[in-house]
Amino acid sequence: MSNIRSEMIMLSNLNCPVCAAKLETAVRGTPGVSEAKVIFGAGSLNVTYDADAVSFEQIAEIVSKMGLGVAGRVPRA
Amino acid sequence: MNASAFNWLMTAVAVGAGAPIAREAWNKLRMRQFSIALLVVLASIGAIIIGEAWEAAVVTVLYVVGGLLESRTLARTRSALKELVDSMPRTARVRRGDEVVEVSAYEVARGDVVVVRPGDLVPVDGEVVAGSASLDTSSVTGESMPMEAGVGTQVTSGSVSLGGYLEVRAEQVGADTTFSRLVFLVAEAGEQKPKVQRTLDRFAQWYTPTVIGAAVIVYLFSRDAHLALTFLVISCPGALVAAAPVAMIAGLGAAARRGVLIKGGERLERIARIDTVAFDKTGTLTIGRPRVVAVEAFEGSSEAEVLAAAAAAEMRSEHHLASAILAKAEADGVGPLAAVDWDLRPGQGVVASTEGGETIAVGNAALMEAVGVVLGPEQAAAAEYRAAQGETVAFVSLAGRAIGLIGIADQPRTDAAQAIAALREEGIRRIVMLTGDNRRAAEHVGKVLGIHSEDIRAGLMPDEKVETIRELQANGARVAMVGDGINDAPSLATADVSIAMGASATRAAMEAADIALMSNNLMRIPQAIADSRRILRVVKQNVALAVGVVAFLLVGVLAGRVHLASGMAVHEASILAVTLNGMRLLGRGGTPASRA
Repeated sequence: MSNIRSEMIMLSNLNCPVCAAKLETAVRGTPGVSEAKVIFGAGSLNVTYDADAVSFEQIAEIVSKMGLGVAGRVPRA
Repeated sequence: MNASAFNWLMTAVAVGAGAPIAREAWNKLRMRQFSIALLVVLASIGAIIIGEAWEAAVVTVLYVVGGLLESRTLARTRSALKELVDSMPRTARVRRGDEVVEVSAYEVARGDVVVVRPGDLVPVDGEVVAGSASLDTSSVTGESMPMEAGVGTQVTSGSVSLGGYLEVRAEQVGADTTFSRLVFLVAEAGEQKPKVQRTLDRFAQWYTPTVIGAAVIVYLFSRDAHLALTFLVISCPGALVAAAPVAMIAGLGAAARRGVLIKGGERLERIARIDTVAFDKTGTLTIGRPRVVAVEAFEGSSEAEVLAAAAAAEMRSEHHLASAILAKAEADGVGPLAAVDWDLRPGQGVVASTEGGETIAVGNAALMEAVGVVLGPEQAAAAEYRAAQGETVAFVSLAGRAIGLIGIADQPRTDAAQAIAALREEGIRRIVMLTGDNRRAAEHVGKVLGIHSEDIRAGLMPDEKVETIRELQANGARVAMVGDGINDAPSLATADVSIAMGASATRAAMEAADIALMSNNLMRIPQAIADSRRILRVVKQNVALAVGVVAFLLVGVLAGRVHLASGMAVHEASILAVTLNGMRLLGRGGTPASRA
């Protein structure tokens, strides 16, 4: 059974639009992630993923590897 | 210190400050992105090679400092959204049998009963099933007046209990609550691009390759690597990219905190151009619930007798005027007469009998005639006068004699006249009222509110409302339509800009609308238009500033007047300037008709 989750992750330190695009590409390329969109103006990452295939912590690690931080999580569905 | 030691020191500074930049540049290069960081690194290395290490140091340090400043100001522009996110409910107290357990707000299911204690955030949208409390709804509606909630009241998530005890049956939970939707819509609105930004994006697509090509040409002609590198660094479009989004999110976020949800993007341009506002009357300009506005007793009777008889007759009626009469009797502390044998007469009124067998009739002149009650000339004149005020008149008769009349009307909202005046001040040329109601009632409301007689369109069916909007558009008007989205969805969809109003607006209307107002405060409409215009103005200022600075610098570089360090400083300053300009939208607002 799949365990699809959708979240809005509030990011800290998202300062350059290019980093936003890069983060989006990196998260989207992660197995288990079906959708990823970084909203630069809002400083947020909207992500939909299968919690059985990839954990929130793994996504958070990609975020921190880019020098960004997780400032908050808001489940969307 | 000799020149060589100075050079070594500056090189050390450049390497120290440059190392993280180089790492950033390398990471981006692996993602096949030519970043500003890469240009900075190339320029710094070039500067060290040609013996200008101090310039490398200045550039790298400026880049780092600029990044820090940008991060602080960007965080400020996003603070409006962050505040919304921070005030989202995290936990909920759910009643499970006799127990109350605390769970994550996202684990509440539809149908669960949640308990709200003083200081708690209401975690769900739903109906109060027990208790009463005052609620601060300001984070959702922007209204400062607390709302009194009791059994049967609909409450929304994000409201704070100021005192009292509530049990609420959850109807919308987690990500589906009004408040969650509001947060997501604000976050996404910041991403939608106004036309001016889309033009800029098209420009950016050929901008980078053009700049690289131009730098190569500059080098080929001048044989001056320094000049070519400077040219490259200076042309980075940092301010161009940030110009619109920072202004949008700051402005839209600040508006959302006041309960005005403006969807972003090209809608802003449409909103800014509005010159006509059409209102649905009932429930929008008026409260939407008929109320008793006059009780008149004819000679020989008292107002209390009139109400007592009317309330007795209306007790079993489902008619919307009946609830107005019953509410008035209750408010005045008048107990209805004991009655039996109700007889509803559609289109006329209602007839009942007292326990003593006397007939009570409440209804129009036709009903009076039908039950054999003769109305005197003064009584008919009194009714005529009430009707001229836009009221619906019900005669009350007891035992074959007219004892009085009751005037019922749907009253304009208290702030409606003020809002219409503010709209005119904001430059809206024409205010149109659309209603299915009769001409007389509509004229009366229009006169009170200051709407011109020729702009009152009464007796309209829903499709005729659509026709009216099309007709206005055909005459060149750009029309915003204000409604609650329930019966005016077609006219909302037809208008150039749709404004869905209030707690009564349906979810679908709220999401489809260009502007959604979270409260029934009509003053938010001129404010929303003023806000949109101000946001758009700041976006345009930012774009002009960013384009201007880059053009100025490039010309300066080619003329040999701007060097790497000074150019970099101006460049960083321009990014800061557009961010700071966007931040102006955070604090201000709430003053329609202000011109920045």
